[in-house]
Amino acid sequence: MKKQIHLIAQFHNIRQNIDTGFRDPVSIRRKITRRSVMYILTFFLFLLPAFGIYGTFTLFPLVRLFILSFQDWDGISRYPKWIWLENYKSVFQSQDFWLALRHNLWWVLLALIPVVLGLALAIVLHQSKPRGRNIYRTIIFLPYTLAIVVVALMFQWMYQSKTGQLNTLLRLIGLESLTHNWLGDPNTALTSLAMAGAWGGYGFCMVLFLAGLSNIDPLLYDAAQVDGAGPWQKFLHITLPGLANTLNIVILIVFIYTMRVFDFVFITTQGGPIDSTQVLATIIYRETFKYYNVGYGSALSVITLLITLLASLIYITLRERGPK
Amino acid sequence: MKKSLLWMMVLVLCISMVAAFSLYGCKKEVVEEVEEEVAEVVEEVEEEVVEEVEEAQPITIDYWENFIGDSEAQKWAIEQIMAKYPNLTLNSVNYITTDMEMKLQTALPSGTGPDIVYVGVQPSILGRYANADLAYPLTEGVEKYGWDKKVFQWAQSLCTYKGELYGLGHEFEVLGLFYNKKIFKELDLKVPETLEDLEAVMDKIKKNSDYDPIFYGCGEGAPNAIHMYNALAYAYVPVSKVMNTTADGDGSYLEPEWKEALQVLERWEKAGYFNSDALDWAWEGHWGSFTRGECAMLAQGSWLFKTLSDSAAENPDVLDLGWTAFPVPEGKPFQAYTGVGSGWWLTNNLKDDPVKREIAFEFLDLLISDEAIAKWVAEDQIFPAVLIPPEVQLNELQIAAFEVAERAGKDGGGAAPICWYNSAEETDAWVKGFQGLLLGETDIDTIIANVEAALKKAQEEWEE
Repeated sequence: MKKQIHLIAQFHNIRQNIDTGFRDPVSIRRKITRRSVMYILTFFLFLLPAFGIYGTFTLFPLVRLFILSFQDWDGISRYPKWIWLENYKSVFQSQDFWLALRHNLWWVLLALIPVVLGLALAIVLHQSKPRGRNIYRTIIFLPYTLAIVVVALMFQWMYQSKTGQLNTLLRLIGLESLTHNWLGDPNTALTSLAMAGAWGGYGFCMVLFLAGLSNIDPLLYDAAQVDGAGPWQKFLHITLPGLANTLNIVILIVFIYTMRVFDFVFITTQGGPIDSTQVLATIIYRETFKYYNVGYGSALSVITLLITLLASLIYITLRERGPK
Repeated sequence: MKKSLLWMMVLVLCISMVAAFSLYGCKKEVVEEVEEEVAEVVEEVEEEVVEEVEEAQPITIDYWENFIGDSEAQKWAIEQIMAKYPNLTLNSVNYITTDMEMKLQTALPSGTGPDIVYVGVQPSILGRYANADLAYPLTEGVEKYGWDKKVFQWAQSLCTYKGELYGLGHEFEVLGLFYNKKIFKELDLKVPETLEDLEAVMDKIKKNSDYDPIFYGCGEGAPNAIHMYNALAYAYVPVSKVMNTTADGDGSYLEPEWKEALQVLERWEKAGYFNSDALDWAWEGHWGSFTRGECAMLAQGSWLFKTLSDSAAENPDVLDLGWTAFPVPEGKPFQAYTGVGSGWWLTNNLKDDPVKREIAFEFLDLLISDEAIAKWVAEDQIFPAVLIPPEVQLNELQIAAFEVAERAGKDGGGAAPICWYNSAEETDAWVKGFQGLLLGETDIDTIIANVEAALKKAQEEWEE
């Protein structure tokens, strides 16, 4: 360790000497070459384990995915066929892809409901400071800790048209006309699923917002109070700007999660009825593992990845450029 | 240096020439004799090695299965094989079918995964692995244990690819009609013998009671809708056509009988013979409303004998179980679904390991041994697709199933496996079609066009 520090210090001295031009350039270059190689080697040796893990488990699969997306392969045969951009062409020509993308975007829109709900709950809990605040917080956060499989199955039973709790409740309160086959009707299936997803998500949003709210200086509210600001003005001019960073993170997390949603759909409807709940992840699974179109499934995955990345970048850029 | 090199080359050339001429000059018989001797010696050595390995080294065989994890017969067979080979560990892992199919797809091509598999034996699963040389043919086992004489001939032909037997078909399945004797008695109904009778019975139930005439499950995976349509298809489409309308055949759904069966299904839906929550039901528990006594009939097969018998025993007040053949239209020859659901097959991971392979064959033979058959039939209520020894007692439902299977071949009709033997893409097209038909969002011609497109794609892929 001491030797390393010594090496690094020497390297910095040499750098300084080069910049100020005190020594003979040839001898300095020789010294730099020897010592800097050692320095760089040490640097990379320290990086190697992390890079090895990252490369094996993240970079390699990603590169492999890109390669597969240019091939026609069933996942079993020995020799995949290179077909270059054919898979991408097929994806963009496929109705299923556009349908699934539309469903994902609709889900993204509906996923804003738990964001708003989480924000509202966080503000209420933060400002009213009720007795047993932590208990409320835990209760609200609890759905998020449940496994998605459990939540999905729970809602599948709740949505049952004959025996489900939702329709039973509607019948009990005299709203029989509103009873519905929630997951069986293509017009309501996707929204019903997204609502089930939202149920698990608002607690998570609330916790993040509570953390963000605790960072806002309470003096700002006092000053606003003195200036005669109402609750809405305080929210608009203090709370919201103060939560800008948290809001960015929450929206990005929700967007990324929603773009890759799979488990909810797979457990409850498997994309049906008549593809009304098909999302990008379910068609990737279907094509790759059910239909043995590994190349096509990989191309779909790459496109989904790019859409998510691009949309996230656009959002971040717009937020950066927008009003502070 | 150069000189010595030159000499060496000349020497090598001379030796090669002498060897080539002497081999060329050998008589064919002599060569064959030598080859036989060598083969014998190799065999002896192999046997010795096998014995040594069997005695000393621990052996692990990985076995992946679906559906039969709790079966008594399988537990017995595992105990037997592990008792015989104390150094053997047989890792048996039970999977959900879709999960296993996905894992097989990634494991086998990379040389990992199981040695023995119990999953679908149809072209879209076993056929695919056999074609890719990832499944190991059972020829050695057939020769040693005489499976060709024991396993039903039709079950063998269903598991034969590239001219070799690759799978031992199990779960001899017979699709039929469950009915609740209590409801039939209450409404004074007779067990239907023709499709016209069945329609009349459903009509009576609809008009005279609150019961749903027949259960229909069309939710996730549409397990019951597929069976219901299969049942109708066997009633209308000649067996020869059914057998040919698969990935490895050249049949077509454009044949008029397929449409005729769909028209009947649509007519029944419109008449309100099905339960109103058909779209809610996936595989798990889809027979629930039948066992609760809400539905009078259920088109399902022998694979549910144990589940439904247990339910009937637990709820004698609402369910008295009956099972009969799914009827065909009057005047048509009787046909039935008597395929095999899943089967055992070996993977190519055993290719270079004669010891493990030998044990694997022995394990398969144990699974279809007379002792195991008795357990399959009595305790698990599953039929192996093998000749049942006369001393094995069948229950009422099992006898009925065998009678249906027997009847299917007698009057010019036949038995056929269907649909599950096609590609997943085609099954999905069917499911989407049934759901669309129920919701009034698609028509029969569109369904036929979609399944035909999926079938043609599968047939083209099979050709390749």
